[in-house]
Formats: sequence, structure tokens, C-alpha cells
Amino acid sequence: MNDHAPNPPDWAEAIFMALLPAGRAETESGDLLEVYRDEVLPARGRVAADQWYVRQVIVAFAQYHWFWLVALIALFVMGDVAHTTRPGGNQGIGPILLVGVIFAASLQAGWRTMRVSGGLLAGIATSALLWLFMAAWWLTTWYPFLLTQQVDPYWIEAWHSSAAPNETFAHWVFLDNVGATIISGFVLSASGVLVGLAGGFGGAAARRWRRV
Amino acid sequence: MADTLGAFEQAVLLAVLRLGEGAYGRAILKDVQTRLEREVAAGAVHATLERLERKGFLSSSLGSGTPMRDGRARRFYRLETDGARALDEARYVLDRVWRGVSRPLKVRTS
Repeated sequence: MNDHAPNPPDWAEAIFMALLPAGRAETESGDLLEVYRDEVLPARGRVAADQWYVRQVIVAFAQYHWFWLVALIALFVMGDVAHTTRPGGNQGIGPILLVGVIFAASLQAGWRTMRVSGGLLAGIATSALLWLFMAAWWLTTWYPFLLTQQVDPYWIEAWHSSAAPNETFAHWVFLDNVGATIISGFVLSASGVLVGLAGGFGGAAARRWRRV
Repeated sequence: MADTLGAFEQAVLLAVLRLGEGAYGRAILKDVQTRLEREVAAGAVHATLERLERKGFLSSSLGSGTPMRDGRARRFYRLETDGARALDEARYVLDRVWRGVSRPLKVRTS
């Protein structure tokens, strides 16, 4: 192929390579490139072929990281339900557990791929997907949870002490969810990068040290 | 007893067996898709190959690339004795389970 041979999106190919162990990135990305150029592109055209490639990357990501995503979502849902129905407990444990799972995902990815970039990708992607889930979850549960909160003395007291004058309970809860979504986005972005780097470095270093 | 193989793992191992010396990622993917009569993600085949190699059912070696893949090396797979044994075992179990049952299945409805 010459320099003008069609290629899948660079970013998608970079993510695909970062998902794979160092010794397999070249061979497996080569397989995918071959199918892309030889079968999918002639049959479906450029846009559909690029979409096909991105789907392959998503499936590959899911193959390696589904366990961590399920664990993150389960922990988050349990924590949010507990926070709503039995408020006032130790609320600090939930976020620490979530960051711990993101770190574990990054550590494992660093170990498996033997590269820091593998761990970094795991940290960023699992954080981003968790945040997307959080946003969707809070959007769909704010009203049913509101029905529980509006008869709970703890939440009524919290509303009285922090709501603006004339602000309804429903409005206060909704704004609380919007604020939590925005703050979680910043916190998860930062922790995804930092924890991903740390986990990726730790996993890759441990694997190399074990091989020596 | 050998490790129990899932249907997808069997399809991948049989593709390697069928393709012989030409068993590399893309060819295996194509064979599995043909046999299962559905589109299969390359990532699913790659992850399965990696797992089967870790279990000792397959071994792999690097071969030359082609212009179609920008010269990137190909990984060729070979079925190992443990892999062949696991396939035999899976076939034996299935045959035993199905013995005495004719296809297509006839179900009595009351």
C-alpha cells in the first residue's frame, strides 16, 4: 500500500494499540487494518467503515475491561441508594472505593499490556464511562428518589438549611444532582488521569520486574 | 479432565486446525464468521486466541507482513496437543449428551 492507502481514524487506532499487550499490538492492529481495507471499506464506504472500526475498538475495550466497569457501576449504584435511603452515614467510603477500583483496573491493564499507556487508557476510559453512567442515573432516578427523600427528616432538614428562599424541595434536589454530576465530572477526570498513570506505571513496572 | 471449552473457543480452535499453516488473525476471524454465520468482532477472536495460548492450547509465531497491512507482522497460530485433547473431550461430551435424541427435536404439546 502507498501513503494514500485509506486508514481508519488515527485516534481509534491509537486506542486499539494501547489496549493490547506490547507484543500483540502490531499483529492484531494489522489484522484489523487488513479487514478494514480489504473487506469493509470496499463493501460499505468510508463513513461506515470508520464506524465499523470504532465498534471493533469498543468491543476490544469491553473484552478487557467489562469486569471493572460492572464493579464500578454496582458500587456506585449501591452507594447512591444507601445515601438516599439511609443518609448521614460515612459518605467518604464510596468515592474512595470507586477510585480504588479505577486504580485496580489501571494496575491490571498496565500489567497486561506492559505499558503505562495501557493503564492510563484504562483509568481515563473507565472514569469517563462511569461519569456517563452517573449522569444518566441521576437524570432518571432524581424523581423516584425525591419521593423517598421528601418524607425523610434528614433530607427535609438539609433542604431547610441549604435551600434558597422559596426554593421547592424538588428544585433543590434536582440542582443538587446537577451539581453532583458536574463536580463528579471534574473529580473523575482528574482521578482517571492520575490514578491511571500510577496504576499503569505500577502494573507495567511489576510485570517487567517479574520477567527480569 | 481437560478444561471445558465454550462453543466460541471450539470454533476458534477448529478454525486454527482447519487453516493449518495459514492460521493467522484475519483468516481465523473469517473462518469463525463463516461457521457461526454471523459477524464476529475481531477483538473477541483476538482475546480468545490470547486466552487459549495462555492455557497452552495454542502456540504462535510471527510471520511477515503484507502491504495491505502496512507491513505489520502476522501472528500465526498452531494447535497444540492440549488443545486437540480439549477439543476431543468437548466433542465426546456433546456426543454423549445427544446420544439417543434425533434431530429436529419433537416436543409434545398438551
